[in-house]
Amino acid sequence: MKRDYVIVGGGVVGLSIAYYLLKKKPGLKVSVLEKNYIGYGASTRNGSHIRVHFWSEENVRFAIESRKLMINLGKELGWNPILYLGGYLWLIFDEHTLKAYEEMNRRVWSKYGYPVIFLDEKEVKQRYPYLNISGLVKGVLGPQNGKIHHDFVTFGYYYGVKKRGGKVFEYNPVEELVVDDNKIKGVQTKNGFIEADNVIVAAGAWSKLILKTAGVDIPLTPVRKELGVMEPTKPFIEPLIIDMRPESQGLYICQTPRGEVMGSVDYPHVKNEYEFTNTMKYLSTFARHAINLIPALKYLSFLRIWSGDYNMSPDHSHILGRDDKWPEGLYVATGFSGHGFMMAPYVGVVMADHLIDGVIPELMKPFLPTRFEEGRLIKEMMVIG
Amino acid sequence: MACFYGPRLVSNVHRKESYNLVTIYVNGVPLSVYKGLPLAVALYRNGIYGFSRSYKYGRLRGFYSLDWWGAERVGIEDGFEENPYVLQTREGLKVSCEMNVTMLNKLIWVFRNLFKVGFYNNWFFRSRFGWNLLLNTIKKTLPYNTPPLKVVDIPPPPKNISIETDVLVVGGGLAGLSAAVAASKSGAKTVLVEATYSVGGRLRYIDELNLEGLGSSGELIKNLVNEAVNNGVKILGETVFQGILDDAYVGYSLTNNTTILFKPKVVVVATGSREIPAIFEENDLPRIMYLSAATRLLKIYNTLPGRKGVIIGLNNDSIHIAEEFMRRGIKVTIVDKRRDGELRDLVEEAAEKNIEVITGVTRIAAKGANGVSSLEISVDGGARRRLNTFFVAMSPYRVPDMEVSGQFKIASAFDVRIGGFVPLHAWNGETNMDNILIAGSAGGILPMEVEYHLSRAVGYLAAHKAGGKLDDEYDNALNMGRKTLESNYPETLSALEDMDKAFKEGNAYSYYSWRKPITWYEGDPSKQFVCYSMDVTVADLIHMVEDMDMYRMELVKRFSGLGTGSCQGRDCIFNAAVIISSLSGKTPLEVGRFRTRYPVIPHKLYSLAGVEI
Repeated sequence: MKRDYVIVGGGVVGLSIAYYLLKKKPGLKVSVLEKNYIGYGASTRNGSHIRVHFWSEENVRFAIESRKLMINLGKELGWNPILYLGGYLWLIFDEHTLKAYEEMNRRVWSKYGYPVIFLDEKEVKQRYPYLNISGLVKGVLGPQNGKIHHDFVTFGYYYGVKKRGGKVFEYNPVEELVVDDNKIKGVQTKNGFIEADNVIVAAGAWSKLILKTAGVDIPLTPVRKELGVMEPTKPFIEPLIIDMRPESQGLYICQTPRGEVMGSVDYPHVKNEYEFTNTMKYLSTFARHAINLIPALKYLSFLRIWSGDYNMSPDHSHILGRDDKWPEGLYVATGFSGHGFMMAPYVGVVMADHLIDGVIPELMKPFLPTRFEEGRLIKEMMVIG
Repeated sequence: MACFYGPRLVSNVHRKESYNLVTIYVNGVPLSVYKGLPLAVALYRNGIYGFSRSYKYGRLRGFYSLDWWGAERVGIEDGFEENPYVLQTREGLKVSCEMNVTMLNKLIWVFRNLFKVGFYNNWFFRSRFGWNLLLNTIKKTLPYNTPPLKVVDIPPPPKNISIETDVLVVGGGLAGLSAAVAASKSGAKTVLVEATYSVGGRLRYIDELNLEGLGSSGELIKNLVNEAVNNGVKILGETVFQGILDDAYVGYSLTNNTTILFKPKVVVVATGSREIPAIFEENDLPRIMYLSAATRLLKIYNTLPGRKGVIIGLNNDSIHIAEEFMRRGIKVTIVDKRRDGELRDLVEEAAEKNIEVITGVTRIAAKGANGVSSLEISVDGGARRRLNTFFVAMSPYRVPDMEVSGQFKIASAFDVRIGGFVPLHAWNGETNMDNILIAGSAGGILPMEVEYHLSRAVGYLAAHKAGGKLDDEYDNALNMGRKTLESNYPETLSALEDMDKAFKEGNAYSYYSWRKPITWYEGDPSKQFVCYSMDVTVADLIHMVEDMDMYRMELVKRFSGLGTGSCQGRDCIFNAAVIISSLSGKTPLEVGRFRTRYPVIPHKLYSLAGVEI
């Protein structure tokens, strides 16, 4: 049976696209193919946070729309997203960085109605007495950001797609995109051929491999990131805290509403991206920096660790839509560079508009894959972890 | 670092009590207890059976296993929590326990059906107002403490230790010791890590079993330890092998929180097996525990679990231990779900030893306010009958410990004849990872004599893989194992043969013959706990399978939190898989198991901070 849309990748992005396609035009034949279980990739491996404070205007505007959808997702999907707006707290230790943040706040964040709050050392100590922050210049609090349960968002879309008649096939890896006469014909999976008019590749870290089978090469590098949770305590860390000292190696720490403290660091890692293994390097580096920032963490133990990929694009921003040079009917939604979960709802909306109406929504325009050739790179520097 | 050599460890198998009395303070009340006991045992001796509140319903909980993965926690003086099985009594120790449940908890329990898994998805809690209300309640009622939040200078953490060796044996039970002895005899430098304070594993408390051709089980262990020591095996007690990371083989010393980095050529995983809970109504009441916990109380800590008890599960172990209980003046009854016909030999054996056995029990419900006081049972769906009891010991089934092998890319198979989920491996312990071998019950439940022979073979092979020559004894040990299976245990033999074949052909392999899980009794599903750490009940599983159309364990885990608590799936994964299987009609292998994650035991940040790599 011929499908209207086949989406490669049953993560939060793929399912969101499928959901909004079916919502916009009920009765479409949409299939989502997943190589493992739902959300096997970054969707179930991320830190489950949303934020609007990005470095580039394009991403800020996109994230604001996505945040609006996230917050109302409970009503939309019938799944409680376990929302908690605890904010993001950047701890800034040098004047130069602070200036840049102030400039961003004036120029972009305030302009769109999401200003940050600058806290001096005393205020930070008052609000977050557990932080060891001698030499702090300013704390930057983005109170509009927060946490959301990543699994529930993924599940919400999954059940939404199923309810609206979409098909989701788990354990059905795509082996090849089948192209004939510069037009996409369908996908070859492990369990057989599926014919389709349009194929959307939203396979996260595996997108590059899959696109290669259609002769399309986009500049993506999956980078492995490790993450761990500690034994639960009563919640005491409200925001997601980012330590900006260069010696802290991009440390971030947060706590889930269930009480598990969670966090990671950015460190030079071993390269075997598709193997989700862990390293002692991560454990010891994180432990050192975390205890330095929050001495109370000395009492806690790692309960469980895992790893996932940041699917990095050259300008740390996602890639949506298609290039006209590609085979007809082939689209991508990938390269989220660690922001896939928080962007997913709005990606679904713009992609559905794009696929069904054939127009390119305004907020999607900067994210087209053609931007690399044309040199219109997005200046995104705020990648956490 | 805790580094003992054999004889000190096993002198008389039992731990010597120091007989030094110390005073500890429980919620401010002084108690006189022996020094060096696990806190949970000290509390039990003093009649404090429930000391912790559960995560969701706030039920009063005592211990059910005496191992570190129990979900219960107590607060200690400086305001943070400790594991009452690892925490030992010392002079002046101040602990805070939860001995009462709040009104709110009682109310939640009464209306538990409203709080089924995923209840926060209903329209009221989904609304902004309802969700904030619930979030605040959750924060307040979470049964945890906050760590002391003052910013203080921290002394530098302990530096890690590095140990280089040819063969690293994980687990000091019968299998581990046999493998270590064999490896060291072949000339390989061998290190054995044991998580508890002494070697011997299960045979520490089943030490009078007569093994065919090998003498008594206690003697066998003693001889093995002597041989190990004479052959230069280095034994590390109270050291946990945490798992294998990309850049390290990690150990963790429980005595002083030091991280150990091993550099072995070959790892032999001999982590053995463990009991799982029986699923019946209110199976979470204090004084309901594993059979091994009750046995340890009696034989290692010299503490009577009670004067009257019920053992759930009829098997060789439970008969053996019931005998021991009766010798010590404890009246016990063994109940089992299976009927007489399936258990004829065991029933006869029990009758010979004057042990009361009730078979064909279809329904069990525990009753009691702050601890179990009776079991209400019915046989073959007949009239309900009351068994008064002071404690319940559960041993319905044994499963292999996959905490180490589950971390690797070793495919898991499912065979109910040898303990459900098992790591796929060959007869001689080989896995699809070149330097990892599996010995003994860690790869599927084996009879003890067989375990001894096959593990020796694994030991010889390990030494060979580490660069030595293959000992002539290797084939002999394999044959002895097979011969014993052929004559006494045909069912286990065919299971191992099936697995060996599947391993060589690279197949997913599944064998499941139960109509209904033998660990699952009838009763109100909303009172039957599958997961003690996250309070997941059978009603929750039914809700997920029937209303949510969810049967894969990876999804079940993420929706319900099953396996994300302190036991990380040790206690729940088998029961959950077979119950979901019987609810959904999928095989347990299709339901699957979620990936086991590093580490085996929670690893202190303070200890990790000292690692230089």
